[in-house]
Amino acid sequence: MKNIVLARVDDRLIHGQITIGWLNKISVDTIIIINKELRSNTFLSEMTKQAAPDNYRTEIFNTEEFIEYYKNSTKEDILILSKEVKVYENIQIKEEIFSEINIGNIGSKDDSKKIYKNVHINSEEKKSIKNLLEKNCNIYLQMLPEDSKINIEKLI
Amino acid sequence: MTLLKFILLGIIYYVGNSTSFTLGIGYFTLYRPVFSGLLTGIVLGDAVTGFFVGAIINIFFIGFKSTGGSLKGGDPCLAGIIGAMIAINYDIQGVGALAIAYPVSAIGIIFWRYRLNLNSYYVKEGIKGLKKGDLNSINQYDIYYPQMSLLIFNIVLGGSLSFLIYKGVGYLVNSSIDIVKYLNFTGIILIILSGAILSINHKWKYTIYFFTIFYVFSVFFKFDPYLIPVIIAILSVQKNRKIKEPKNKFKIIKKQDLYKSWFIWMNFTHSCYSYEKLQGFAFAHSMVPIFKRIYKKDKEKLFQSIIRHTDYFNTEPNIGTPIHGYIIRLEEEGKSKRQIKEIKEGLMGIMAGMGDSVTQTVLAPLTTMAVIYGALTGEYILSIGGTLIMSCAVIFLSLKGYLDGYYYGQLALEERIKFSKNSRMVKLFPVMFIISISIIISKALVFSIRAISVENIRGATLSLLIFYFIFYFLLNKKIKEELLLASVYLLGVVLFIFA
Repeated sequence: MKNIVLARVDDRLIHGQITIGWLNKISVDTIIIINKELRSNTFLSEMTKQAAPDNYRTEIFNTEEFIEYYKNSTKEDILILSKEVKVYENIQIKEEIFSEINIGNIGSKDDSKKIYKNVHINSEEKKSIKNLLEKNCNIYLQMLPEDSKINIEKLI
Repeated sequence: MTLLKFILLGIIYYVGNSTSFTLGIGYFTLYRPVFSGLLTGIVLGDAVTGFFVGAIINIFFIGFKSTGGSLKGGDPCLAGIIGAMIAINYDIQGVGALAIAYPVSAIGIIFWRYRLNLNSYYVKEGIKGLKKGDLNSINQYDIYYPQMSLLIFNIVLGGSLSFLIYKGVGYLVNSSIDIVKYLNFTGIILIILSGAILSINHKWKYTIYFFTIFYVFSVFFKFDPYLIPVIIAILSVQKNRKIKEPKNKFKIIKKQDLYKSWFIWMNFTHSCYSYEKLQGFAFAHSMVPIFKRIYKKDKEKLFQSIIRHTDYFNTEPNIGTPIHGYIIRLEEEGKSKRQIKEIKEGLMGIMAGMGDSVTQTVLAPLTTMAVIYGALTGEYILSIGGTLIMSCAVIFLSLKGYLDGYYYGQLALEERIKFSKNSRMVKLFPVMFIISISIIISKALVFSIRAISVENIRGATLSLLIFYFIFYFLLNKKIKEELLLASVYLLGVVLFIFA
């Protein structure tokens, strides 16, 4: 069984807010990054693993690999990171794995609108969020563990 | 206090808060209470007191870090200014000044978010200007407008807050309640609470024992103030490994362009920091000298490329610089936009996570502790040494990263990861930190207790350890820091009545 301690959307995947913010407050064994591009780029994935904080196993998966990993029987507490909400949506459609998703940072793109100081979403992301909400997944905004959780339904 | 002095305090607040124009050093120095306290002391004509009070306040802020646009607690720079000002004007000890300065400094944090929102507007305008073909627009909107706004705003905020606190405390000091005594009590407990918070945040098996032993040791024995900093410095020395691969040769770009780019980056990483782009606009700004060289004759390409680099970007500004060097090299080689974007975005988080856990988490606290210890004991060479080490580290790491990124590409990035991961300083940090902070806290408390003329200084300092254990126990039970902070202010009242 896998215990998802935190599943988060963050533009920068592992960065300062994760290494010196979250990992000091939550207890996990493994950091999972779900990102297709990173998975297929040997240099970047190698760098990510090397630079990841010690004392944690770090894995980079694509969606299919993640589901497979999630289903295997080893017991682990995990932190999941993805750049896009879409990734969680794709997984949730196949398997209802997530009950909660944390939105950390989504920077602005040309077609995105600001919904909170550090979160900007476009219409496609909005659709994914709505789909996830329908699929029994609660979504909230929280940059750091000290911040309070903000329910996304109020903002979109 | 004249109007001019309040304005000068506002300017100090700007200098510390801006962190621009300082080659990246300002954030680790001028922004910290020990330095803003010193500057306040100089303006108010009592540098020694300002420095000492700043040091006491800085103990409370020693664990301060900000990651990716987040800022919590109090504004260290403002705390140093307010604290030094009231300590110099009224007969309040450093600890008492801390008790006022800490809550007041939280006001500074409230405005952080407005600053980032205002900067979003400047970034948009700046990009508009670039789209119109006005290269000067990046100077205007990355430096001039955000810095001018910040200067005016900080003079108004810093100046008026100082004025209000000056008047308010003055009123209380002259009233019948012995407010000074209350503040000093509260401040002493705040310092001991910060010891417990820091112990919890740097917890390993023997934290509590190490803290206790060195705290007690420092109460009873005088020892050479240089001993521990020198041991730490020796332990931290690390040989700089040279990469043996052949260097990439300059083709279109010249070495001076790299220096120019580095200079812009280091001075203005956070000049126009916004939620939308974070350091994106600064990254684009740093690429101006590069694209000016590559697209000397092709104005259209020049602007397109600069605008392309205004995308969302954020990394640790000093450790992360091999990214810049590497990107410059890829741009010179004419790699595709998509490829460059992917590498840039893939690397920024990696270098940020690792970099923050070196510079902000390890290097800055260690060197700042040397500065604090020097300020407390009067051994100013320690303070100068700490400042120099931090400043040199920032310049060295950032410039070397820039050049190596260009010369060795991916190898430079791998090397930097190895350098940070294998650094002995990082590995030994929890032990070095707890030993140093326990000595500093115990020294600071001995001085403070002596100053409020308690008879049995040693006994009083030792008895404070009881509070340390209680706080440590409560924090370990996951009681919130904020709750403990509030209860310290209440406890001050109780102690005040009791004494």
